[in-house]
Amino acid sequence: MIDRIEFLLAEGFTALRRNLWMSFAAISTASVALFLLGGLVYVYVRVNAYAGEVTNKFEMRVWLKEKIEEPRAKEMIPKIKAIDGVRGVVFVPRDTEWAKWKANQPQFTEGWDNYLPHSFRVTLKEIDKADTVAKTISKLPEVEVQPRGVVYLRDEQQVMDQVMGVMRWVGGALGALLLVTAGILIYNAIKLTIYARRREIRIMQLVGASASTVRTPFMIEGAVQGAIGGLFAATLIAAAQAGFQRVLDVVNKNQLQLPPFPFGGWALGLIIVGGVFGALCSFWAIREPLRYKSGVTV
Amino acid sequence: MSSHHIVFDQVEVKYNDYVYGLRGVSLEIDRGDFVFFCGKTGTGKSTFLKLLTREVRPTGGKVMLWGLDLEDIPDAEIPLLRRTMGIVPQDYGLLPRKRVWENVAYAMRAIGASKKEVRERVPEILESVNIGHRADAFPHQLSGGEQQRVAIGRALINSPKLLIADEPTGNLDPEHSWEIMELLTKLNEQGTTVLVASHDMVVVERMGKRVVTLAGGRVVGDETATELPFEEPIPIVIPPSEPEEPEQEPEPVREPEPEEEPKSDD
Repeated sequence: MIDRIEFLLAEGFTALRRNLWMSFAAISTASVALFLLGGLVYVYVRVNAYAGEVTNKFEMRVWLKEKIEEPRAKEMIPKIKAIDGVRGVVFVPRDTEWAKWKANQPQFTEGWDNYLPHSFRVTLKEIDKADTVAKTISKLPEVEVQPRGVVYLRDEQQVMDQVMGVMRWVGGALGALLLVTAGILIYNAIKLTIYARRREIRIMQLVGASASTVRTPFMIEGAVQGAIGGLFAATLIAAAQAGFQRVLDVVNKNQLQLPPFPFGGWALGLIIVGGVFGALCSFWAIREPLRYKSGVTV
Repeated sequence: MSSHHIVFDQVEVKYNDYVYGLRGVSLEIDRGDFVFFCGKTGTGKSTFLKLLTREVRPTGGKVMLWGLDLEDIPDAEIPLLRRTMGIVPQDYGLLPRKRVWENVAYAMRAIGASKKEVRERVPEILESVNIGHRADAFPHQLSGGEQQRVAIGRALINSPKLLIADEPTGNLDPEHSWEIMELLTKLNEQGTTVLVASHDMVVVERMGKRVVTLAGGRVVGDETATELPFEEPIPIVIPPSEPEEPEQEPEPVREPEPEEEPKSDD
């Protein structure tokens, strides 16, 4: 068994060496494709995590009508909590809020009596439900009429949604396009290898080597090309993040630190994805020419 | 089931509407036979042999090998079929950047032989075809006859009951042709059924074996063996040829080192 594996590996790596330039082209394209695809996935994961953090911090302020007194306002809490998408509701008495205003913005409060009504701070489970929640709350009779009744950062939420949408579609399309290109290059590299090794293939088929013995070296070649591409892609993502951090350091004066890129996990993931992808491309390239069938010998 | 080793029953091979390989050929071959398939180029000699290796499928009739209809063998089992036979292609099919012993070793590794088996059998095989002394030579350093010996040696790795050779003397001068025929005769005497496609009528007639003559995809002659030639060889005239390269000193059979692998062909 070990002998057989050794033979197949030796054949696979011989093919890589023999087709050095085509292998180089296939590996570099696979690297770029996986870099863009992996990089976009990485940025998407990060932005998604950030969006989650923002959602946790995101809150809606609900102002009640002036005439609503505290007991009645507190009765509203269960009703608001029951709305789909609401995480929590905190009642803010008008005096508490006024005291805060006086402390933070004395220029707007000096010489005035407390003109604030009671209010609620409402936090959300998901940021994209903000509009629905706001609409439902604003219909409650105790709530001040819009636009003063429910106040939240609608624009921020919309921008976040748009960014995520663009990343999903543009990134996905670009990555898929590059993967197809890389796949075609790996396919061509394997086709060339089949041509370069036609004598060996013929001998194997003449003496009755099993179909898997004939095919496996080519699958190994494709898998190795894809896996090396995956490793390069992970390195490129790490380098890109380091470069971006350097730019941020200059622009933002070290205010914003990106979380570290988990190289090991991502490299392993991209190597596996690249390897499987390369093996599949090889399989596509060899399935017809290396078949044992009547009328055809390589 | 037929008692014959190989049976062709009304076999037709039609490549397209205008080109036929064989047209309704019937023939029986017994175990241990030595049969020549003769005829001009394009008369169906190679088609005959390719039917047995399942490189070609009949469009009509039946080909039976050891009682088994070859049509019943699924594509996935063609490798198993080929392991029961030795195939010597017309162009030798040697790997140019592998040494003689590596050419045989490579074929053995391809069918799953371990390195130990390779170490044990390669020298034996090379000796059996009288090429052991050139084990370390590359194919381009060998004469045509020597290359053909290596090709025959490689065909023996499966210890075949059936040896199929397509024009084994096609590129050889008479002297080397005769050497190859002696080698095939020796294998036949050890019990191997030998089928040879050839248009080298001088050699064929000298051998005195069964000769099936083909023309236009049909069998037009089937002469039984006479066994005369080895007793009274017909003298052959070797035409003058250009001076050959100086013979190299015979090299001893090289025992592959345990850790040594066949070198890559690049």
